[in-house]
Amino acid sequence: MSTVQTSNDMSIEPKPIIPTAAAGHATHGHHVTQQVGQPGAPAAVSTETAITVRGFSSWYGSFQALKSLDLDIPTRQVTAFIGPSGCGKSTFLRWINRMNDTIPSARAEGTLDLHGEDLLSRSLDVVDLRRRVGMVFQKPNPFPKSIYDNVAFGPRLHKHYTRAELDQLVEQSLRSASIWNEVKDRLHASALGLSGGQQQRLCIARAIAVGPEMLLMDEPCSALDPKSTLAIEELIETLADRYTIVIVTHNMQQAARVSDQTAFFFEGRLIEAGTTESIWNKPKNKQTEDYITGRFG
Amino acid sequence: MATVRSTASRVLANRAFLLACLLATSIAMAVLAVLLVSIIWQGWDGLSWKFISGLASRKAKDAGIMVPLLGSIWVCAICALIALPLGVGTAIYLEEFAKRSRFTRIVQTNILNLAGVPSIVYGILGLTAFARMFGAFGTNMDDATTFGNEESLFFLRFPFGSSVIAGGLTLMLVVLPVVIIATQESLRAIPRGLRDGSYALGATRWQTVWGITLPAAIPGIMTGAILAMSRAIGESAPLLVLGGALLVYNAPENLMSDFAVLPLQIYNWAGRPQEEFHRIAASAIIIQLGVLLLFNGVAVFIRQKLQKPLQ
Amino acid sequence: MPVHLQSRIIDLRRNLLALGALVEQRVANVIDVIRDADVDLARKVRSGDAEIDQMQLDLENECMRLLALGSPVASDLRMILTAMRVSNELERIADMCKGISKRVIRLVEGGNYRYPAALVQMAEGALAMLRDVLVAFSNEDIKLCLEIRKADTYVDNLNREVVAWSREWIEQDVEKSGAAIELLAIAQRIERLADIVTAIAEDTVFLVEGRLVRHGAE
Repeated sequence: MSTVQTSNDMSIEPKPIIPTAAAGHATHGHHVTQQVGQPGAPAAVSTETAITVRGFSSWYGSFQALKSLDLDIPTRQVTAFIGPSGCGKSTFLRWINRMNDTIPSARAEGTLDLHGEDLLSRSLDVVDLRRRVGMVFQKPNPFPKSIYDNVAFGPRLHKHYTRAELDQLVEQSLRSASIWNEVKDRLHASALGLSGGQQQRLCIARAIAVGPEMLLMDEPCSALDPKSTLAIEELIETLADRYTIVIVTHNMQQAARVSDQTAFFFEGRLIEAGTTESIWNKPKNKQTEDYITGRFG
Repeated sequence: MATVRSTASRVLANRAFLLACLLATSIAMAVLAVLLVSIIWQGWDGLSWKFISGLASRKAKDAGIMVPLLGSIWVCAICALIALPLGVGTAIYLEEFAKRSRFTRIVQTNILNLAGVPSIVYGILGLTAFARMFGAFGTNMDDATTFGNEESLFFLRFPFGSSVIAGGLTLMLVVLPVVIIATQESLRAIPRGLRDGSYALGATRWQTVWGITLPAAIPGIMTGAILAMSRAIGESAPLLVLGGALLVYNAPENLMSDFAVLPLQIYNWAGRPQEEFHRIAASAIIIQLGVLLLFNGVAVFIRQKLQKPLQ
Repeated sequence: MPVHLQSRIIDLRRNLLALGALVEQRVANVIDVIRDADVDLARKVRSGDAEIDQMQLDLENECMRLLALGSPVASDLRMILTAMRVSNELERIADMCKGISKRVIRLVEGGNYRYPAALVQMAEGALAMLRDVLVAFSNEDIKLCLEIRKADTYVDNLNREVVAWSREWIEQDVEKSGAAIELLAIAQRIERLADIVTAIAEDTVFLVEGRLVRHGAE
């Protein structure tokens, strides 16, 4: 199917500039050119789009879970999907790496492109897609193997590595996931002996090890205590420099803290999408406003 | 208006039920105890190394169980070598690879049914299919088609007749449904999250099964396999039909040898009028029970030690 | 934001408008004070300032509490921020009124009280602006807010007239220069009052639209 690149009404604007001297908070390390002038004006930075979605709908059997979504997910930024339970945000996330293929009754129509490549085509190499687009799940799911083998499992699927190469890759991945110091002395102990927060970071290390360009996170902190949640949010901040991240979350403060862009889903539709700042300051849509101020959902 | 149910009457009902359960358990335990005690009392004196290593004899006091013991081991070994790979492979295919369709549902139902079929039916099946091979090679054993030397292990004779290989294959039929079901259960017990985690890393279905699902299911599969074999080792009816009760004086030498198994030897001795044979039958029963206990013990041990929580 | 805090935000808005009404009353009083040299009224305005200060303090405390406890976002957050700013601004307007009353009393007791018509017009203009901005806030009327900013120019022009009049007065009668300067101080306060009303108008635009329109931006 043709990728429909309609004249984008820019459902997501590029990240606006806040002169860091005045605002004094991190801009996720993005190297943006400072545009002095009116705050809130669109940035003079070209933001690549990683995922293009046009008219995307999906079904489970006869039940339509997603209704004609239009969305752009920018590269190397954190995009949050928010919305009440059952609104389709997790379903949509799982289409991005075609995990819904494991569900026989799932099907989809429309345009879903990753850098222009049609993700719904039958000839797509799904295995390679999942190497490029990693996923972290709600409940940490480390394999019942050693910590080393957990991280090494992914890379070994795709390539042959020497022992030394693998050692280095494992260390790098564990470092990137901010867990190296806690496990470096027990790499060959069972991964199941780690705490919940550590297991989740291990799962992130495992996902990073295959060298993806994009990370999908389905409520990664919902099974964790506040301290672990904070650790993972800080981790996401550092990871956002290198990876495009999409995070589904129920926790609105988390979405506000962690993301650059936010998309609000409701009953299978995309109600509103925009920069996190604009959505949290003044959403355009009343439903969005009601949801984020807690008046429903 | 609703009336209060008195606490006293509820406590009384609770106690009465508890007593009923205890009574039932006691009766069952008592029956078992009586059986065990009587066997042990009868057969304990007959136990000796001479008994275990001894060969068959017309005289009860000289008789030993080495031949049937070896026969059991041969038959069960053949059964295991065929049933386990076949059963585990089938289970993996049904559980991990096959698309859910009407066909797979029919197959699944049939496997469940087969697990409950009386084993003598398998004996008849084995007789027809393996021993006599549907008459394809003639009915006269002396005119059988042979390959190879009678002295070597891999001597083959078609039809198989009542040989160890036929016995092993027949037991395989009995045991196969059990292995398939036990393996399927172990695979199903693996949480979905593990498979999802593997797929999300870009693993193919085979890589996931080989690298994640199967290793995690091994304790369950082993337990199931051992329990299946412990059933096989105690089977008598199918082997009886097959012809394993013939008086056999030698342990099997090759796949085509005649054989005797322990349960049938017990049957043989217990059926004789002489009291001495009853005693050695009891001794043999103790050995048989010992082996079964050993198998089950190993299965429990494996379950305890290797089944780490998958959470 | 939990329901019980949502109703507190509604109360906050209502209290803010009540404060606005009170301050509006003060400004109306000040017009009478200037026009009629009503010293008794002037004294009442002065003493009544304490009540307004207290109301403002209560409002500000409530805002801080809601910020700390409620994690407000979007319109809730904007309402609380605006309430903090506007309550502060209203209190400063009341302060201006107090200052004006003080000076009128001094001038009247000194026997030197003269004033040009422009001064009263300034005060009336400022009052009209204040009334409009409170209506605009209440109705979330952006257009009205932007018009109020234009009305500020009118007050500024009147201020220039008062300055010219005072200069003439000093030239005519140098000994009255002290009184003339006091009069200028009164005019300055009225002009500042109008500026503060403009700030309230800009805050209202922020409340409704979520953007800042300071320093002349549209």
